[in-house]
Amino acid sequence: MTGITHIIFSATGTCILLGTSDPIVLSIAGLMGLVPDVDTSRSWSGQLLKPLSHYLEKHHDHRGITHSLLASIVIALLTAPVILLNPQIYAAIVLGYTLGWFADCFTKTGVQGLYPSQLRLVCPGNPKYRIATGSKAEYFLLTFLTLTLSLFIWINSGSGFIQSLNWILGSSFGAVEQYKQEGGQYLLTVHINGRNVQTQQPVDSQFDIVQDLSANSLIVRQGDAFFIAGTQGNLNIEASSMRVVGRKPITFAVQKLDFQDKLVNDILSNLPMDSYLTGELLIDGEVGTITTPVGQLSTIQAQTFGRITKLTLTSAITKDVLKLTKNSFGSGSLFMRSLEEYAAR
Amino acid sequence: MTFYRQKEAAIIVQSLKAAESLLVLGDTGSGKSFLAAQVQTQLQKEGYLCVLVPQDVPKAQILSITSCLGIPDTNIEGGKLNIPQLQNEVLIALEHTTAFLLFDDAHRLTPLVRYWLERLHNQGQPMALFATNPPAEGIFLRLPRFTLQPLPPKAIKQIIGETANKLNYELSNSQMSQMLAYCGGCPLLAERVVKESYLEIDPEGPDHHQQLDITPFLVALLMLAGIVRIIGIGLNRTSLYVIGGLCLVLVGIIRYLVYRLPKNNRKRLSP
Repeated sequence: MTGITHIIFSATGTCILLGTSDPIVLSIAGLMGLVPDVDTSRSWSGQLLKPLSHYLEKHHDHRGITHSLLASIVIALLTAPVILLNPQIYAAIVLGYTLGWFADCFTKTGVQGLYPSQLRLVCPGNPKYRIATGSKAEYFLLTFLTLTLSLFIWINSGSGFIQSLNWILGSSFGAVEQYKQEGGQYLLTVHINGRNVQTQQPVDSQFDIVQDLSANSLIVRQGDAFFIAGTQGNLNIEASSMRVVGRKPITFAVQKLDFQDKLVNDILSNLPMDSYLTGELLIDGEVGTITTPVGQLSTIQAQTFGRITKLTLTSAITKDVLKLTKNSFGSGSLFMRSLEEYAAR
Repeated sequence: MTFYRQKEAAIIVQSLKAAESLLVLGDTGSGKSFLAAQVQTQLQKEGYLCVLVPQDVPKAQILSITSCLGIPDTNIEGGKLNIPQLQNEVLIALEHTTAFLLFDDAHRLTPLVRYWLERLHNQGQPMALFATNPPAEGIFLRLPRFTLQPLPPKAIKQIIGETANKLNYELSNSQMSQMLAYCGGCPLLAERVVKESYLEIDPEGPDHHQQLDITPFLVALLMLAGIVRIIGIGLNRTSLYVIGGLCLVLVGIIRYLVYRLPKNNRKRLSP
């Protein structure tokens, strides 16, 4: 195989196996792919290390000792100190080298992968379908590898293979999984296609993710309107596709609030007004009326027991809760979540 | 020509001298005939009677033995003896004479000769058979056997050098190490590769048997991607489950296509 094919083969393999698109890592892997061919003075690496290539040519077969598991182990041991500097670069060195000789399994003569055994590893078994150096088949393979490499660099430099696939499928579970992974660092915007179950209106717009409910459903908001969107369960929006289309970096803060017979406003007014509250709040007296338009999720549910009103909050906005509690006393056990955008700080 | 199988020759000579027969197995071109000739020379040098039976029709083969042992090929009336009669004569003669029989390309021996060899073997006659893929029956199953290993790269390199010298063809070390990859320790292929290169013919592909097709291992390795599917179920992660499923389908397709490729036919040469 020509040098360029080796470079691209090793870089592609490393890109897929390590899931990285770091140009330094991929370049190192690509260059290491050239090293096994040091056993012939016709190769680039052979030209560079002439004394070594002359020695190897004199005493060994081409694609012999340097194209073996033994050589890979030696390289892994020799470069072991690199692991302290950067484990990913170490993995790229060993993988790049191993893929460098492994690619030669597809050539006419194969490789002595199990050196010191003289057995030559080949694939496929029929030599007619193996690749001759510089043949048309090799250029075809090179084109295919280059396309694969470009695709995986694009995938890895985005949000990774799994999320790219989820994006293509537009699945609700993909959006939920991405929220579980990234919800702590990013405010995710999701584009939902579907219909509102209660109003039967078609939905085709963007929402911010507030929280996940199950493996298939999320609470999302658009301005002050909240919805449960997903594919299963008690839904406001039944989604035919959900794609995460934007992420904004945020700082995420959580606070637990436990209080007994205190002025609720004193406690809540200390919190950021746009933070979310989840939990239960018992208020002395009655609260104002809660109205939620049809087709939306009411994040505050009120139940009255005699003189006490119980508020059940599900990601309710602090500002809205304050409007209800006014100057009443109450007790509660709440979780506060605030997402502060970097830009806002 | 340099002789590289000194050790093997010594084993055969010693075993024959101890009145033990041997079956020597080796691929085509692994140097069996050359080894047989060396064994014969060595035994004759030590003063033993040793017959290297040529690759020929049964009649000629038996006649070569009778002439060496000094058995007349006619009866008292002057009539020519037929093959079974000659075989009987050899059986009787060898009961009292010490002589070693070497059969090259023994896998080509006709059943007539093979049955006779069994009778000779039962009589305690030491012989060495050199064969490539003989049938696993009769005399071939009875004899202790050993297999000729591929020659080391150093020896093959010397053979390549000698062949090139004969052709007045100059080869660089780099060319030699490239050729070595086509030989797989087989001296016949070493000569052929040099000649092909001399005639500027591109080598087709290696013909030696030191090859291991790793396609099944690769397919098995790719099928491991299916584990992702099970992990997906275990962790309740639907996307892993979907990816595992996609991988399995892809592997299935690759497997189907790879196994549809025509197999390498070792029995026939095809263009």
